[in-house]
Amino acid sequence: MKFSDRPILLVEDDQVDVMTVKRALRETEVANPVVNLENGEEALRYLRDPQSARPCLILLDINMPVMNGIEFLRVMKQDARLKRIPVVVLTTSGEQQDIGSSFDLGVAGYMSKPVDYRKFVEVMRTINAYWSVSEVPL
Amino acid sequence: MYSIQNQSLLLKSPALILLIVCLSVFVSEAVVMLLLYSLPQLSLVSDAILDATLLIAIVSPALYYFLFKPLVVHIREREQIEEILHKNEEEQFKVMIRTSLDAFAVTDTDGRILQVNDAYCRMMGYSREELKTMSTADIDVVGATEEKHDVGKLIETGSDRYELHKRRKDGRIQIVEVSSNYSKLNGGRVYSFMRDITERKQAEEQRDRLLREVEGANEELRNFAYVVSHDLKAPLRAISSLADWLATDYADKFDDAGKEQMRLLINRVRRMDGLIDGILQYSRVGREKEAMVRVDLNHLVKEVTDLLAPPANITVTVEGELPTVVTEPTRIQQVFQNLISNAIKYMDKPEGRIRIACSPEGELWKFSVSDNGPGIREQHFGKIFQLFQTLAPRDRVESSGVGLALVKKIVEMYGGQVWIESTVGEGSTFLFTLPRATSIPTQGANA
Repeated sequence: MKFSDRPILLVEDDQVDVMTVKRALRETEVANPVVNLENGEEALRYLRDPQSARPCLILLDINMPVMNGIEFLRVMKQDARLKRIPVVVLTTSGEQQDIGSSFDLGVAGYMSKPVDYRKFVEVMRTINAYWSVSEVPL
Repeated sequence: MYSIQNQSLLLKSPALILLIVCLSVFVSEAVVMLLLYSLPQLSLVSDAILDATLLIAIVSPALYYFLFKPLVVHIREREQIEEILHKNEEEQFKVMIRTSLDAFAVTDTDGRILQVNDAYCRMMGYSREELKTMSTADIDVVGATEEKHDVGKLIETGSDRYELHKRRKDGRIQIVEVSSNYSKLNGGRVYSFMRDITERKQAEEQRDRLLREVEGANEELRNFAYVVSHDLKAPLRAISSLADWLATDYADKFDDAGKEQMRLLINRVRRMDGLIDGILQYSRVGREKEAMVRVDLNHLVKEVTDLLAPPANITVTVEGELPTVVTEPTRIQQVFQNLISNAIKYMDKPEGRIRIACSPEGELWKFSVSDNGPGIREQHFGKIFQLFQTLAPRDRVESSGVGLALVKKIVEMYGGQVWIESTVGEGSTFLFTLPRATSIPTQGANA
């Protein structure tokens, strides 16, 4: 990651998936702290709280209770202060409809969570490699 | 001089003059007769002729008897015939209305029932006498149909068609299609033919309901694929990750048997993942529509072969030229990919040969993918195209059992057929057809 002091916001409700992401990040030696929130509503509350550290990347699950990923994107991309934070969707859904809606809402990437943990680590490695090179708005 | 000449002519040849007079009378009668036949049958003309004849009879009895009497007889006869015909016609109409399967009623503009046929009585369950004391307001169920029957509109336009709900004597509601005509004779009469369309309406409603149900089921199926992809895969991924961490973090605590069990556990998780992917792939065919484009199958088959990267001992050859077809590229690729990858996967000969060919057959292209692999026994020919059916144990050849089912679904979606010819030990040939109507032959193809 370009800014190793800024947190990665992980919007994900499945406990094992959270463990998987954290472990994969550790294995790929990503030092950024991970802030985990369980749904879109909580994520918005965090992002709009002036006390919170602004994340360098949001990893977003689609299927979540209360406010799902797509609904979260709709609100977030309307918010001038939040819309520039890069969002990478990290989900099980390979449905064209979800992929289309996500890109319509300006996501920076869309990754399917592989069932195989080793492949999951590769996905995280790729995300980290890309966001280490890519410029990010402050 | 002129009058003298005339006088002399009259004296000289009275016979000739009589002849001329007769002739002219006949000619004029003939003209009148002709006029009579050609003129529209107006009673005014006939009456005028009869009056003229009476006048002529007074003036000249001779002329009446010899010339005009036949005409009078003719007119009288025709009037009689017309009267008979008229009565006959009335009788015919009465018979028609009586025998009609459709109900018929005559009402006045206030809706009072004046006349009905047997079919109407049967339809409403009332006797003729009962009906003649009733009006349409006693029978019609107002507000049941959106289409409102309006007498005013009928009087204005002369005829109308509409649907009505009518209540029978036994209380049953009948849906009726009505065709009405208005005549202003006798102070205004409405003549209506009615047909019972209750059954048709019920059938239509049932069909609509079934359609809605099918649509609902389809929607459910679409959601099912989505649920399968997420809700089944999420716990599966968790099992996979946890098993992987157990095997890594506690490697020193597992003995060989424990490690083997972990390996089997992770392997089964992957297999289940493959099955779920198969279901999703299978359900996407026909659901996710792609644009129909021209696909050069020579290129496509080469791409598919390169992608599959067959081992060095297996050769894949295309015999002759393949056509260019208009189709969904992903789908046709799935067909060739599954057939060729099966041939590679199950190859048991040291020198594997896979041949792809195509020939026109009437309205169809017939494609074939042949191999010199193990072959399949005839009793399995049907089974192999079913979802999740595999012939080799999954531990020996990892297979989801979706490939051939997918091929079958795609080929049949395009209106083709797929089948197999095989000899055990010598190899198999998978054949499928596609309609040529949506394909364009390339140059040099044997079209």
